[in-house]
Amino acid sequence: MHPRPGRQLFIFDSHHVGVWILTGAILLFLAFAAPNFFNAGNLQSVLNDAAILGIGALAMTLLIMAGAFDLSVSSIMGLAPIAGLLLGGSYGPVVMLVSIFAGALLGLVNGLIVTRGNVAPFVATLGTLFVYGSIGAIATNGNAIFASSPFLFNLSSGVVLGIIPYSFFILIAVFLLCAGLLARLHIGRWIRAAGSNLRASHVNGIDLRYVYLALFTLTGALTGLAGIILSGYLASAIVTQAPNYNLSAISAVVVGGTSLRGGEGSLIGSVLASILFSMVNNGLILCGVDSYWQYLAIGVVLVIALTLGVAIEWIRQWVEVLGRPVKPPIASETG
Amino acid sequence: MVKKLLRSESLAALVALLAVVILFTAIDNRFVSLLNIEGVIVSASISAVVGLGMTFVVAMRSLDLSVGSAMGFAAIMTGTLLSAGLPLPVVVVAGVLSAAALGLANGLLIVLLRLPSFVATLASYSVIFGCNLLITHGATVTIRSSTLNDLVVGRVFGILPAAAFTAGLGFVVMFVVFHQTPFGRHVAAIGGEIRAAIGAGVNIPLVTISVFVISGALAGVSGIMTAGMLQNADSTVGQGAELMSIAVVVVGGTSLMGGRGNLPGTVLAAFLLASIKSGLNVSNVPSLYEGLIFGGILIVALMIDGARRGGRRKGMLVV
Repeated sequence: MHPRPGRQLFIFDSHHVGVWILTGAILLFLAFAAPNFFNAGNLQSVLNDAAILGIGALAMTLLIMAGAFDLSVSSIMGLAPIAGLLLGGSYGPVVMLVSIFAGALLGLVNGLIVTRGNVAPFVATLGTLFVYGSIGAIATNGNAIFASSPFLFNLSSGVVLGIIPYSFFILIAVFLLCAGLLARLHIGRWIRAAGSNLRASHVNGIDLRYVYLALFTLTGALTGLAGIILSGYLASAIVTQAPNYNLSAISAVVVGGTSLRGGEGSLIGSVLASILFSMVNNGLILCGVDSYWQYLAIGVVLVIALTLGVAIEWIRQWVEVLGRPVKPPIASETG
Repeated sequence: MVKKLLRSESLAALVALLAVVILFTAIDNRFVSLLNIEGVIVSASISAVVGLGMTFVVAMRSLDLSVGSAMGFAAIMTGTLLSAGLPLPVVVVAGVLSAAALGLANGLLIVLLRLPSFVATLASYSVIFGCNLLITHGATVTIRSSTLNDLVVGRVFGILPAAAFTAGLGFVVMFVVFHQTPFGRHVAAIGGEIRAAIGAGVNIPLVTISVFVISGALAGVSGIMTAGMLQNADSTVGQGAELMSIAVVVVGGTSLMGGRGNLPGTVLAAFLLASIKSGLNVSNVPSLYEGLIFGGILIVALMIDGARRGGRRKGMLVV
């Protein structure tokens, strides 16, 4: 497989065509099973949940493309807003900035442990998952702290056109930022290089330590942003407010068609998968199903998406083989 | 075997364990009271059993994120079947077999769909955890069998809790399998250099599936032990155990890069972490600090390991 230039832009790329099919199928199902789904208030809450997951999933997409992971995001989701609320006073925008900055700092620590301590990202961030969670619990004595700022509350409850919460625009901004990084800056090429072949990129003189340091810091900052949106929505911050955020974000990235083998990835796929997860959770509640079904449903979605991905890749290869002329005419390329 | 036991990676964990024991004894000598030591042994044995399976998985350069859910599943199966009045031996076998079947499903997902183990077991983690919640409806199943409790915490020959014998037996079997059989060498070969393994004619699908079945079965044993210790089962059994057991394996000196497995190290690391947890408890450190200390130890241990490898950057890809 040779990724052609411009292939990332093609929206029905085989890597994330699976998530399009699934999203369409679920929308169709919900239209019949739960017409309430399309209420303005409900759509707003679906998009807000999608934004909170999607921001982390986008950062995680870049990390996974570069061949790394961050398991500590679950704790940063709690600790960064706690830091923001404790240190940032009561003015909403300042709380938000402090929270993003705290997240960036925590991400930087992750990056330093990985690059300077020579520790594999998986276990390094597993360690900081425990450490950050513990620090957050110690800072608040394990309790929730109150987030009363109307600015923070508005992030998820203020709407445009009646259905789109401000948080979703933040998601779009983050998407554009990540897409810009990948497409327009050197670091985008370095990320792909790092993920697809470490040794080759090393030979080419790219100091991957800085790439990883930047990516972990970015992931921390974006997770801090997602955390403060969640805290604004809940009107409180507790360190355990998103306990499964790490695995959910990785699941969204995988369902979105990014390979865990690194090198290739799909940002739009991750956003779509976040919306898909949020729709599934919401749809289950609307259908009056026990909340116990949620874990099962997410797992099943993951399995279906992965199977679809494999099947589509299979079909694509067959079509390529079948569509190839038996004896390729030499002149046809130019003529 | 003594030489192997004292390989440098295990030695580090052993020294750390001794240091921790001496430290906590100095802080409060209730740490070495009989009751406390028994508690440490039981909880260490439970995490060692699941860690042994995980060591195989990690040696194969894979990960199994579903062991926590599989532990919960086996525990809930045990509780439910015992309440239904089935005899204990049948229940234990059924619990272990069901967890092994979950491992089989993992293996098939990985082999048939050619998925990275991380993704496949992430999916099954979610599905199994959902099943656990659905079966119990979030409630707790009480286990009234005192025999099962005796099989975990009861003293054998008046000295050691029975759990230690289960873990010891598991360790000996897994150690022999890993170091003395072709299967063990195949596991290490797949983890170390998969192309060489293919070239040598290793049946990769079969070995992969077997390793995940073993990991599932041992998670099942560990789940049943947890249920026996607690005398009840609910969906929180095994929660977080997947990441904890990976931490145990790594602190024990098995590299995530695969190719080698350090089973004695895993057992020592299980004892180390259980001692720290219990020691913090005895010396009245609030439980909020546990994560800080666990995570700190994990990071420091790995950074020492990283420094010892002399800054050789062998790549960071860990999937």
